[in-house]
Formats: sequence, C-alpha cells, structure tokens
Amino acid sequence: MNQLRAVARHPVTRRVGETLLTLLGISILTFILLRVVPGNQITAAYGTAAGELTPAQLHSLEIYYGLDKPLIAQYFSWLGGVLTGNLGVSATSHLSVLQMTAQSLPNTLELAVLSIVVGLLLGVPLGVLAASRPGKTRDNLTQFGSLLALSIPSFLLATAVASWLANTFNWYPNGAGYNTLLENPALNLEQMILPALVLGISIAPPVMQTARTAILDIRAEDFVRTARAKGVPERRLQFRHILRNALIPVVTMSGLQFGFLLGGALVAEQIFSIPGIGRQVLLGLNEKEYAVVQSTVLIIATMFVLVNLLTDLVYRVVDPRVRVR
Amino acid sequence: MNQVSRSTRRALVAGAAVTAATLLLAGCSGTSNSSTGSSNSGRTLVFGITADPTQMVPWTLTSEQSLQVLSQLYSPLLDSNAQKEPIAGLADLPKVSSDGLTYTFTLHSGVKFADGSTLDSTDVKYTFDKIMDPASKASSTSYFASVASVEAPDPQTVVVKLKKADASFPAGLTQPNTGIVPSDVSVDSLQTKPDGSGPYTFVSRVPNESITLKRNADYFGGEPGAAGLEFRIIPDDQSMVLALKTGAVDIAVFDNPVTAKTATSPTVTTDSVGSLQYHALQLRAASPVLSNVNTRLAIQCAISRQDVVDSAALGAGDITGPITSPQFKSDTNDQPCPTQDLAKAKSYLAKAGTPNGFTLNLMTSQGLYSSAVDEAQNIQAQLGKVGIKVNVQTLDSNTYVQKWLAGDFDAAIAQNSGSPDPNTMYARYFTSTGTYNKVAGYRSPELDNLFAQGIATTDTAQRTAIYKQISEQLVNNAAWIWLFTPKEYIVLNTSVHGFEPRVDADLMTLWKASIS
Repeated sequence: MNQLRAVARHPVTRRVGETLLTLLGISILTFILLRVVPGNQITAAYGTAAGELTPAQLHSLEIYYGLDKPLIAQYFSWLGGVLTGNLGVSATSHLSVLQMTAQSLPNTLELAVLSIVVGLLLGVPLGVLAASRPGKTRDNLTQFGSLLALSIPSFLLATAVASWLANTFNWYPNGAGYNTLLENPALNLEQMILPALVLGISIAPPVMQTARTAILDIRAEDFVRTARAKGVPERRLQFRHILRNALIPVVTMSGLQFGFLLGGALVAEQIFSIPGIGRQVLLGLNEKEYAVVQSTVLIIATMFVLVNLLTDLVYRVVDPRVRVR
Repeated sequence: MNQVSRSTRRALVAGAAVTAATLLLAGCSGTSNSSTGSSNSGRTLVFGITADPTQMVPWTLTSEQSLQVLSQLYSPLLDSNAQKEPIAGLADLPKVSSDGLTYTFTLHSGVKFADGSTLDSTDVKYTFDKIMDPASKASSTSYFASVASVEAPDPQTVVVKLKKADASFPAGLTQPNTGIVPSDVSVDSLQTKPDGSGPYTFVSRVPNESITLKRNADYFGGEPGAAGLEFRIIPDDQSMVLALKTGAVDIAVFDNPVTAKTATSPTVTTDSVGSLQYHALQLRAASPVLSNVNTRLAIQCAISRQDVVDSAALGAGDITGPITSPQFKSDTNDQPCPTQDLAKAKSYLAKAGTPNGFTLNLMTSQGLYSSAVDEAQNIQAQLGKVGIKVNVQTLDSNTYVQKWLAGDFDAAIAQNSGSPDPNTMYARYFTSTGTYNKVAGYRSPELDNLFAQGIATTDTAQRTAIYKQISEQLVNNAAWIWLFTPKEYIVLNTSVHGFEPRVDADLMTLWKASIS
C-alpha cells in the first residue's frame, strides 16, 4: 500500500499525469474551438448550394457527418475512437487520419530536421563570429543581419527567393509532383532546399544569439582561464573547451524550435507544395473535417508534450540536482 | 568537464541518429507519387489545381476542383456546345412528346465504362434515381424537380416522364453533376476508384498531391489527345505561376488578371474567357430599409457598374443584366439607369421619402472570391455620393454563407452561378416557392406567372420573349443590382495544342488537347 502511494507520489508519475491532463485539455479546447466557429461540414462542402438541400437531404447529411448527436456524445465518440486506435476518417480523401498522418508526418519531420540543420549551419558560425569581437563592427553587423532575418516574413522570403530562382535560372523543383527521399532522393532534396532554407533563415537568429551569449559566458568561466594558463593552444581552447560547452544551450533551443516546426511549418508547406502535417490540418479546417483537425492537432500536441516529458526525464538522469528538487 | 563533454557528445550523436532516422522515415513515407509530366516523354498533360477535390461521385460535386477532375472521368447524358446549348452526348437529343411531358433518349451503342462494362439504359435510370433519392445528398436534385419517373424499356432507350412541362430539363442533363455511373458498382467504391465513361480513366490519387488519369481508348467522343492527364495540387497561386513558367505544369486557370499576367512569358500564353456566373449587389426587398422600389432604384442609378469592374475587379469582367445564358442573354442597357445617373438617383431618393439618403448594411466576405471586399468598398464610395451611408460588414466565408442562407441581411455582395437555362438560374430565387426566395427577398405574381410560362413551352422564340419580360421585371423593380460577369484566365504552355477555351473555363473539351 505504502509502495503504491510512493509510486503515485513519485515526481515521474506526477509528470506523466500532468502530460495526460495536458493532452485531454488540448483535445477539449480543439473540440470547442472548432464548434464555436460558425458553419459545419455541410456548409463547408456545399457553400450557398446548401440552401437547395431538402430537409430529408439535410437530415441525411447530418447523420452522415454525425452532427445529429449532442456535442458531448460527439466528443466522447471521437475520444473513444482515439483511445481504441481509430482517429477518424477524412470524408474528402476517404483515408483514415492514421494513414494520412503516416504519409504527411515523415515529410514534415524531414523538413523540420533539414531546417534545423540549415539554422545551425548559419546560426552557430555567425554566433562565433559575433562573439569573437563583442561590441565591434562584425558583432554589430551580425546582430543587424539577425534582426533583419527575424523581421522578414517567411511567406515573403519564400516567394521572393523562389521567383528569383525560377525567373533567372528557370529552376523551381517544387512545381514537379512531390517525391519522397526513397522514390527520388535527388529530386526530394532539391524540393526540400528552398523550404529548408527559408525556415532555416528564421531559425538562425535565435541560434546565433544563444550561441553568442553562451560563448561569452563560458569564455569568462574559471576553467577557461585555467586552461589558458596551462598553455592549451588557443584554437583547441576555442573549439574543445568553449564552443563545445556553448553548444549545450544551442541544442536545447534547437529542440524547442524543432517542436514548433512540427506544427508551424505550414507557410513553407503551403508555398512549396510539401504535403506535410501542417497542410493536413489546414485542409481539415477548410473542409471543417472535425475528426481530421482534432486528431492531427492531438498527434502534434502529443509529440510536443512527449519531447518535453522526455527532456525532463533525461534531465533527471543527467543532472542529479533535478532529482533532489 | 569531461562529464559535460561526454553528455554533449551523446547529445550530438543522438541528434545525428534522429536526423538519420527521420530521413529514413521520410524515405519510407507511404506516398506513392505518380510519374511527373516532365519525366514522361512530354505525353502527360499536367493541369494545376489549387486544392484537393472534395467529392469524387458526380452527383455530390460542389467544388471547382471536383468539377474539373470529374468532368474528365464521367460523361453526362447530353453534351453542350460553345454556347452551352445541349447537343448529343451519350445519347441523341431527346424526342419530346407534344404535351412536353415525355422525353425519350436513345443511347449510343458500344459506350463502355472504365471497368470495361457496357453503359446502357439501366445505368442511366440508376444514376437519375440516385440523384432524386434524398439519401444520396445530390447537388443536382434541382434539375430533376419536374421528373415523375425514369424508365428503361430497352438497353438503348431511356424514357423520362415529367410531372409538368419543363423546357429547362435538358440543360440540367449537360452538367457534370449528372454524369452517368455504373449501376453495378457501389457508391463507396466510386469514392476511391471512379468508374465513368469520360475521356480519361482513373489511375491513382495521392491526397494533397495529385490525381493521375490515363487515356480512355474506348471514349465515345474520339481519342483523347494526351496519353495521360495529371491534376497536380499546388495550393499557392504564385507557386503555380512559377510551375507554369518552368514547364512543370502545362495548364492552370486563374481568376485574378494580375496573377495571370505575371505567368505570361515566351513559353506561356493566356486566354481570357467569359462566364455565365455573375456578380451582383443582392438587395432584399423584404428588408424594411429596402422595401420601397424607389430606394432600390436610387441605388441602381447611383452605381456605375463599369467603375466596379475597372476599380474592384481590375478590369476582369463585362457588365451584365440578370440573364447570362447565351441564348437568352439580357440587354445590359435595358434598365432604368444603364449608367450612373446621380441626379436620377437623388430624385428616386426624394420619391422614397429619404432625400438625404439612409444607412445600408452591406455584407461581404474575404473568403468567397478575390474581389468581394473591393467591390463592397467601391459600392460604398459610389453610394456615398448620393448620401447613402454604407456599413460594410466583412465576414468569414462560413458566417457569410450562414447569414446568406438564412436571409439575415439587407444587402450582400455575391457571386452566383449561372446556367445555360434562365429558369435554372432564377426560378429558385424569384418565384414564391423557390428554394432561395427568402435569400432573394423579392417576389411578385407577375414573375410567378412568367416563370411558369417560360418552362411550359419548348419554342425558343416564345421563351426568349418571356425571359426578356422577366429580365425587365427584375431590373425595373431593382430586385438586385446586377454588376458584371467575371473573366477567367486560362494560362497554358505553348507546348499544349488543340485546347479550346470555353465559357466558365469549363474543361468539357480538354480531352482534345495534346502536348508536344
């Protein structure tokens, strides 16, 4: 009994419980928000032509879309399905949300990973450059560049870059049908370059700022002074002692950005015709496909929350101080 | 320090592993992409569309993209010519009994569905019965409002009996949402594997990416020009332009003249076509503020339709009267104020007892079509000149549709569909029993009588005279203010040959197009 109580009171159990409650809250919020917005699947599908539907047709459609049931029954019917592995079926594509997600999620994951890579490749060297002469010209220029990159909206940058490349070099690989990495690796990477670049440019500024601040902080640490006093060569000191330690907050920050990219790469997916999970949600919203939106949002939220949960648990393993708290 | 280094290394190794796993997962994605136009010896025609089709069974179709795709997969009973008049299709033009109540269709022999089965009268009867069945949720039910029964006395003959004479009936049979489906294939199966008698047959569909079709060698109209047809989904207009310019897409349709212009290059040309659709300022005479005919006429006189076209629609339209059907088209100048006449508008306002104007609520929506809000603002400015203060309410499209259907507005900017037959266009709005009469907000015994006469005869001369009177009734009472018919822009690669642009940019003749 005491053991059971101890397990129930254990911080890990509590954290898992909080995670489940968060997901439940998200599912309720998504369900309510979708219903608060005027219209339903019938008006979304038929538009003004819905006025020509006879009462019998209207009733038949309400049954088809499950709109004849009370809201509470609709919610628990969907939740019951989710808990038994049935995330719902799209009335548009006639595929289950699970099948749709199996197709779209890998594309979004690939885009997110490549965007993070671009963001790191741009952000870290610029952070090092800025930190090498704090307050001087190269620092100011880098800071200005990062502010500029943050200020340009993704959709504008995406359209401008794509238009320039297409008009100048007749190159726009995203006009061809989307190809996965296995189907056509070369074309897939070509199709991913522009969206990854656009998203990477928006990720680079926070990476650069984090790297710059971390490098400056670590450079002032005692162990750096000691290493320098022991005669560690400057190049080795910069890379092995300072940069490597500075990368820890950069990695943490990249993880957060990755989480946002899973749900927030919609603009790039839309402009560059990448059939990812953001477009899956948008399609669901346009057609008022409640099950598609609710289940997809829940999947994105689950991934986000799980990454956070795992991070917390890893911290417990890595850092004994967290365990004590 | 060493401990930190090790954990960092671990983090980096883990990161690399996640990257590799993700790329592998991406590679294993279940997407089975079809062959692209450029890699298929130029024989597949690639048509760019901006959204995934939402319906795949003909009688349910409501979206533009579904219309474009399904018009290549299915054939309606009758075809239509460039003027949208019914002509022979799967069947010859019908023989009509002297009382106008019986239509007898003779089907062409040897027509086949994609699955190889023969299309006969049983399939036509099955399709029409399905359309009339409320459980089918058909968007084409209204075309069959006068039908009493459909009979299939022999494999090549279909007999349709009407409850009352209805000359507009054949026009409905040319529409893609009356396309004939096989009677022995379940509707569920048609949702995922369309089976029609159109110029192309279904090969595969990748949601949110593409729909691939191949030539139907047995098509009754002749051999389709391209070996394959791919509808490629590119949601962003600007990306579509780039895809056209780089040759990844061969044809696309735009409603925005500026977008179409940016696509034009030495290898890309643009054709503009008119439309049977019309943009109107819908006035609800049933609303207290617009119940006086002089008030509505004042609005008509205060508006320059050409100014709306030039300023709001960027010139992409032609001013129009109520009826856009080519055979029965209204004279655009046949109305109390064919052009803006502010003095006359003020005199109507004085007659209405509001010489200093009044306040009018006008609803529009950003999500309906590109120029909807600009049109409302242009009208707001024009009516302001005679003292009519317009409150523009910009709603999201769902709210707009709900208020529109409920007739919960005084005035609305609208883009309504047209039809080859004026009865189909307006009986639903302006007859007492019309499904949209509450939305139109105007009715009269004269209109009820004229609409009844209009479908009681099949004589074109008589019908033309009747619909001229209907058109006059509508504009003389300023039931609505008809503004313009929009233009659509078909942008195509110069390697596409034989494409015949048609009104409404419909794709009934796309099958003739080939690609070099």
